[in-house]
Amino acid sequence: MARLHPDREHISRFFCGELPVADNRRVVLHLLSGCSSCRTTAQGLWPAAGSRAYPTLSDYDGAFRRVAIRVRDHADSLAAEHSAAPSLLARLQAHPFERCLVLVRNSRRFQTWALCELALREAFNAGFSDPQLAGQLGELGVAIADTLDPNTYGGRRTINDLKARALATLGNARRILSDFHAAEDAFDSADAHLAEGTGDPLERARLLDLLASLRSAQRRFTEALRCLDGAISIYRRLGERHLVGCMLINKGNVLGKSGDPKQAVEVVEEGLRAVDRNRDPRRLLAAKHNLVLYLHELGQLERAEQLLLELRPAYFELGDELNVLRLRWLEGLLHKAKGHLDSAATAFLEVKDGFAQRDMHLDVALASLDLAAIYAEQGRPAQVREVARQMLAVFSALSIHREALASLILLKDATVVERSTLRLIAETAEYLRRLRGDSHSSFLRRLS
Amino acid sequence: MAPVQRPTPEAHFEQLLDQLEPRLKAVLARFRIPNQDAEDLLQQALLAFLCKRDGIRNAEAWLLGTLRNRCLMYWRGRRRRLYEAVDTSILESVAEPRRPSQEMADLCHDLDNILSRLPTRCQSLLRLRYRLGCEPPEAAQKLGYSASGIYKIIERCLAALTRQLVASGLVERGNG
Repeated sequence: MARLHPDREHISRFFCGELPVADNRRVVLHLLSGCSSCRTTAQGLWPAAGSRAYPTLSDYDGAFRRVAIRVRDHADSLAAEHSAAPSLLARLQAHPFERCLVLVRNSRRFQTWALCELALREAFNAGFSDPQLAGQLGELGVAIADTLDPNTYGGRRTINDLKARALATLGNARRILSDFHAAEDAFDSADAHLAEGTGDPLERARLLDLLASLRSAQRRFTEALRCLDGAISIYRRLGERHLVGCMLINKGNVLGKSGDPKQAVEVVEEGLRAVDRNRDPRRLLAAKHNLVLYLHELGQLERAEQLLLELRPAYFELGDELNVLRLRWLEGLLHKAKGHLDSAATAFLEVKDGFAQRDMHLDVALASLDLAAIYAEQGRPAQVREVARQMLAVFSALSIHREALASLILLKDATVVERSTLRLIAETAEYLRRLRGDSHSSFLRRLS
Repeated sequence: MAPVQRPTPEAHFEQLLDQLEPRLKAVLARFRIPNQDAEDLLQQALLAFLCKRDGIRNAEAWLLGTLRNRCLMYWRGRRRRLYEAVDTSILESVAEPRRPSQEMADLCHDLDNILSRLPTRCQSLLRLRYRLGCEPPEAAQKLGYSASGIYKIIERCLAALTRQLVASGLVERGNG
């Protein structure tokens, strides 16, 4: 009986993955049998073999011409989508949030790349003044990305890049809202989508940057620094000096938060030398704000004050309300460090009320504790008790951890201000700072 | 003095396309992308650029890098599908209940022959897979690999197996 050799066409289609399953099996079993002539044919067609000739550039002339025509048509429609995106977003935002999601899923008009990117940019910017809105816009971005047609936007992998970016933006918003478990979920999902993306290093760097912020908030500083070093490496490779500077600034902030203000100052200053001052004024301001904080922690008050004086106009120019509150907070800290306790108390009171208006309870608590520390230093136990009473009322309603409540009760009941009171205030503040980042931290209570 | 006209995004894109055409083709040629597939890869890269261009500072580097990535992924995908085809073919063949005993004996002989040419760890792994029907987690446990890492090892062993299918020097059945 004649041996049934697969012909050359069959073997070629086998390597291209174009054969039906049954034919695949016939080719494999035949090659397995060791047929020398078919193996020789297969070697010549094996995709990775070096024996195949390189195509010439002109071999791709036809392909390039056809693609250029199609892509030019797409360019026009993408430009139109870009122009329409702001009014579409405004139209969506006129509806309640849940309705926005329904509209996005059911109406093709809202299913565009440009609208998704706009929602994500707005989500990121909203994080500075309205974290709730940031979360909603992040969810909107994710919902829009889920509707996009891969054929229109460069394939499934390109869509996965955008989904990863949307999920990372949502994770960032959740981080700002202190919902770290939900943020973690979003970032895990972002990472999974990026793994199925195009390999665009810019997307990877963006995700690493946002993930570093979450890790820093969770007080997982080593991981945060690792993420930022990864982003720095990518941006250096791409020659993106300004973005390298931005990542160095972020790295400095992590170092500051981890308790190394000296190193933080060095790294932030290195970053400030690299950034383009005109490109991202908000980031520049945040970097210098934190630099003031680190200088304050290092006791370099004169330098801190001088820098803050230069920076002050920028807070109001940018108009981010939360950052103006943080300016006031910083002023309060510097007043306190110089012994101007009344000025410090006025500042902390304004900050406390400002955060209270925005329902940012942990920030209210931290500002309250700074205020309580001033009252304690001034020997005003009644005011300490009053601040503690106000915080207790809020925290009881929010089911904050028992340990924090217990320490507030102690403060509320303090009849005199002692060194132990000051220590309790400091420990409670430290606990709450950790609470913002780590919901499982234990709190060691010192008995007065 | 007339104001300087900046090129529109569309005009800028046209200029970029003209400028980069030879280098984009060179990338495709260097990776030996078949013509019919080159069109898809090029279109995906260019569309992705149009979508993302607001965030891209160095268009040239981004486009060339993206097309290179697409080419790498193209071959990675082709290889993966090929290894899966080889793997599925062997798995289904050895599991086929109605295969005549002589054919099964020949198949087992051919399989043993080719497996014996692989690195030791691939021999162990693929024998567990094909001769004993072990699923990856079970094979991982028997061989001391992590449950998550076994899939990468299986892929590498299938790559080695597939290379052997087309390697020279394979002794044909019946030739001793």
